[in-house]
Amino acid sequence: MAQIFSPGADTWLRFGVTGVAVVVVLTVLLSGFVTSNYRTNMNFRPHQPVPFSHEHHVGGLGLDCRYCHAAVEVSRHAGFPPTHTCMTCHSQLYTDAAMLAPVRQSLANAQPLRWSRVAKLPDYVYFDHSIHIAKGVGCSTCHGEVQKMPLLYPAHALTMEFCISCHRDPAPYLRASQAEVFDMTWQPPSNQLSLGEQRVVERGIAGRNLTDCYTCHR
Amino acid sequence: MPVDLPAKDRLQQLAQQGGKRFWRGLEELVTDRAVQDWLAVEFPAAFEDGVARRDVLKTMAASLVMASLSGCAPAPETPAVPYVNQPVGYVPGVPRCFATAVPFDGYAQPVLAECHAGRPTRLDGNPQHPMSQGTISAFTQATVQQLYDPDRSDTVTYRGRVSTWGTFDAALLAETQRLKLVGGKGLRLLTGLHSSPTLLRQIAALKKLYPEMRWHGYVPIGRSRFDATRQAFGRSLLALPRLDVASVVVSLEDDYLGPGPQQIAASLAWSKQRRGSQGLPLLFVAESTPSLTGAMAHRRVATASARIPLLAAALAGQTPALNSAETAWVEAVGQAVKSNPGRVVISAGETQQADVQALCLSLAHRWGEPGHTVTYSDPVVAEPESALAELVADMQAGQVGSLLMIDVNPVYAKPGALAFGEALVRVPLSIHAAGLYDETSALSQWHLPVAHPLESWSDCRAIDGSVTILQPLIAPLRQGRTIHQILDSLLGRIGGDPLTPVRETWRGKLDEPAWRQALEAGLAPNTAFAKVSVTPRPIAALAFSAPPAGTEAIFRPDPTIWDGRFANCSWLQELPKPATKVVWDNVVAISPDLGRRLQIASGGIIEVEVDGRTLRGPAWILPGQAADTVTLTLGYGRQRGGTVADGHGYDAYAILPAQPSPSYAVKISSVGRDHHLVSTQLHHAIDGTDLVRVVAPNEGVEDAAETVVGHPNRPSLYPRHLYDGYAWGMVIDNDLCIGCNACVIACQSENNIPTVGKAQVAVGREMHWLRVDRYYEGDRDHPFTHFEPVPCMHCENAPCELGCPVNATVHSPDGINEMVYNRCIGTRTCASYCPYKVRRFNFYFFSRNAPPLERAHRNPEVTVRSRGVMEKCTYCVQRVEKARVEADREGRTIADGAVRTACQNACPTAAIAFGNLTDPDSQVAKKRADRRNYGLLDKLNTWPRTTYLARIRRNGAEEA
Repeated sequence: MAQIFSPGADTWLRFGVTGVAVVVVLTVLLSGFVTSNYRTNMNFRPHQPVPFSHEHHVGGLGLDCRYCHAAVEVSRHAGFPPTHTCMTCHSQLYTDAAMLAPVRQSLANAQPLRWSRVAKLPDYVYFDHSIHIAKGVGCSTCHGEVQKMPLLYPAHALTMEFCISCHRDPAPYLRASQAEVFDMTWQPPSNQLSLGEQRVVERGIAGRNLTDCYTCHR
Repeated sequence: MPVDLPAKDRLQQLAQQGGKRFWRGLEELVTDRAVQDWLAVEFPAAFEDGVARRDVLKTMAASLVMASLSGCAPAPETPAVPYVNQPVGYVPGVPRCFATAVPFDGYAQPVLAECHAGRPTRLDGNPQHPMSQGTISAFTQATVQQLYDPDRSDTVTYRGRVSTWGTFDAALLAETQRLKLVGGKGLRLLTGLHSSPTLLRQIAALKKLYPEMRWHGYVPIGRSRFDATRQAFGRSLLALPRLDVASVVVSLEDDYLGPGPQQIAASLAWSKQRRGSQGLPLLFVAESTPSLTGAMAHRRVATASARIPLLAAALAGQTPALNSAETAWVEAVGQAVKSNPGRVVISAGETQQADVQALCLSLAHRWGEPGHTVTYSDPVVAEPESALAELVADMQAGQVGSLLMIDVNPVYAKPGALAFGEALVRVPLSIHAAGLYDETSALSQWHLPVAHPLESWSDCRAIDGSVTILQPLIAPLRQGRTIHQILDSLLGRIGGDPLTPVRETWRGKLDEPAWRQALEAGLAPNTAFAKVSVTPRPIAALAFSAPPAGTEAIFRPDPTIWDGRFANCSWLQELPKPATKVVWDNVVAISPDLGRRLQIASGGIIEVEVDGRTLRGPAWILPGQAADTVTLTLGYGRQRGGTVADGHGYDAYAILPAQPSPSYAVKISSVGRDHHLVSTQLHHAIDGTDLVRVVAPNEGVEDAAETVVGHPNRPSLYPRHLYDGYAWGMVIDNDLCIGCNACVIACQSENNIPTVGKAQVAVGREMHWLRVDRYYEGDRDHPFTHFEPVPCMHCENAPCELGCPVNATVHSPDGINEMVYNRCIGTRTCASYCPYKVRRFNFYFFSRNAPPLERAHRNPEVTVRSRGVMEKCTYCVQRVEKARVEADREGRTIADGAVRTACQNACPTAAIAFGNLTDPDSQVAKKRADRRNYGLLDKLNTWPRTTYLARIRRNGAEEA
């Protein structure tokens, strides 16, 4: 009987097995990298022109989100505060604080401040703040507990996985009222799931196929 | 591929074989096997290249490597830059719309400009303005691209060197002081046609300050109706044929529906009558070269322009010698006039001589009902004191000391017989104010950058005389001053602000609340001209003479770049011209017979000689062109038109004689070489029959498309989609489509569609999501013309969805065939599966090469696509989603009409309806229930969401 395997068969086998192993390892490493905190900037505090503290303004002073992010209920974008908004208080308070110099210069020279974005989405994602607010998704669900952040950082990686888990099942995240939406300390009550299911129906979310591609991409 | 002309009997042959009634180009009528094979390929020109197998593999490997590398690039850092002081009413992310207007040869084109963060990104028609009703032409939409044109001049120049406004102001001050002493002797002003009350006030003030000044006005191709109305009624008038009330419309080469400043108003009126009247008005057209009006004609006769006076005379009861086709046409008109007393409109084109126009005016008065079928008002556009020819004569005689040219380009855009350029360099002081540093700037001493209409305060009258105040949407990007500021400095107010001259005009006429209201509505109240009643003068019999035998040349503004002013707009350069579908070039249109005689095919170069001047241009054999005529279009052959404009086409101005005439005797000969012409008429061809349908009044098509959404009763192997919520659909009424291309540009502007250039279009890579297919029907020499806009069909059973290996194109719950760019890996399977050929592939990163300024006018609501990605019509899903979010936020359903696609919004005849098919009361559902409703290639079982309504044609019996 003739040989079934050629003399090189063993080499090919080793080569093949090693190759498969390398591919598997690389895939695991790459997918790990893509979703890693490093890659998604999780917990990274970018440099800002002014070390603005949400801890102080939200946690300490209790400013409402909408005082600065005024468009959040009516627009796709929440909006960044114009220099004038900062100066409503800071023309009276800490008027000569060194760390606020860029704000005063911005006003004096009519040159806008250039903030580094913390919550970043790719250009092909069309996220709309207003509809999430209207349906009862709170700020802290995506932005985390900003009232505890002296310098802002992303509390959640805004990956497609993160978005779509809620789009598949929004019930755990739907809050009762607009007051709760803007409450940064909101914690789900014990019966959140049943309340959430009820809200999904009441607010007309049930008939909407939220996982349709064109909901976010176009 | 240039092909020989088909024999004349080829159509009969095809008809006998049960073949096609409708054809797209002459190539389809050719029996040659090679030509037929060439036609059958998806990308005809690309097929010719021939690529080796090894090259394919190498490219594939390289692409894979590059794709995996580009996938690792981190997202770019874009800072958030809020305002210092946010404007009142501004909400980030919500576009703001401002009403203004864009002047076009003196007529205001009312627009609503959409601004994102202070950048005007697109123009829509102003729905509150009766002359727009929300619709807009291709030209007007493209003015927003001109705003961001990187070639716009950004500095004052003196003798070609960079200068400043300050230096110019000082020079002008010295000149005005000198001029005042001599009463303005030698001062000349040269402008285009204007209706702006502010400009006219300023010119009157200039005349007062400089009594000897003269104002010359011109449009490049002599068009005037002033003489005709004076002959007919004894005064200058604007006579408006009312296409919306007439039952019979007779056009002697008057292209109402064609491109031009009056297109929108005429199309609105025509479609108003057409809709619901089952094929009225009966439109009779006599013309030499196919126009959009001719394409809509109920009965068209192709005849030389020089023979139009004979037809006019025959209609008036005289007895000129006509050929049989002309006689039949005149008889048919006579019949229609007799059976529709008091409901007839007739007019002659602006290029016709004044006595022919005057005769038609008096016929319109007699056959129609004055004040109803034809209305008269004071002329909207002011008549300039004198014309360009007189200015050139005076310049040559040395009588012009200083010349101010505003927003005109007379070195290029003027009859070649007028030696304007040579005369200009001898003028002691020449000042040229324009948006681009063009041919005239190069020969003038001073060049001044002019602010774009969207950057200017001004005013302008629409065709009904109503005034729109033009308001700036953005501060001048290029240091430009408005035309009123420049005239004001001649009046002694140097460096004034742009608003003052306009406010001064309206002081006492519009108080503050009325001014604000006028700005908000885009229409100043009570400014429309009153209708005038007139008594026609007796018109002497028309002195006609048979035109000399031989070939005649007709000059027309180009259908997509007009007289050259839009030459630097890539949108309009790449827009297929309605009749020829040629892009990036102009052609010498000749009739099939003439082509045969010259032994020349489309693309062959011919030499055209008029009055001893010659030019060479590529021939285009145009079905429907009158036998012994050639048509040349203006606007091409630019030397200094900008990076987009230069180097394309031939310059027809070079041989345009100085004396205005409907046509000129011409000698033509074949040069025997070829020019690489690119026409899209055979690109993306749908393989099938019955793609356009024609029905008799009150009849339907035999296989009307089903109205039930989801087609639950039809068998299919595809996964089934049933709809309980929304089901978006579109119905396009072919009976109303005039082929004006407004929808194509609307789509391009809304969806950030790049232009790709001539070489890429040549290989079938144009990116238009919406194309307008043009079909001919019948005789090779006198065909009927049909237009059919083709967007994505959003099939219920979409073959592309099954073809895609990565699920990048999927069906949405509301029936939209979605294209997910970030999933697409560019196999192009979907495009080859698509029977309608509506998918477009980014062979290159077309959008990346755009200069930064051009990026500013992109629509932020639509993704800018990258290389290697398929794209196609999305039913303007960004608008659907916006309406849905608004409705969801308020907890209601989307009302009918809340979502209007860009193409639908622009369409001046409302041929496109879009909406929710599951709502039986929606406009689109009602149209779909029409018996004329049919789907393209319905028998393929794709169940298209976009359907068509057949064109209605009245036959001979009804017209009698």
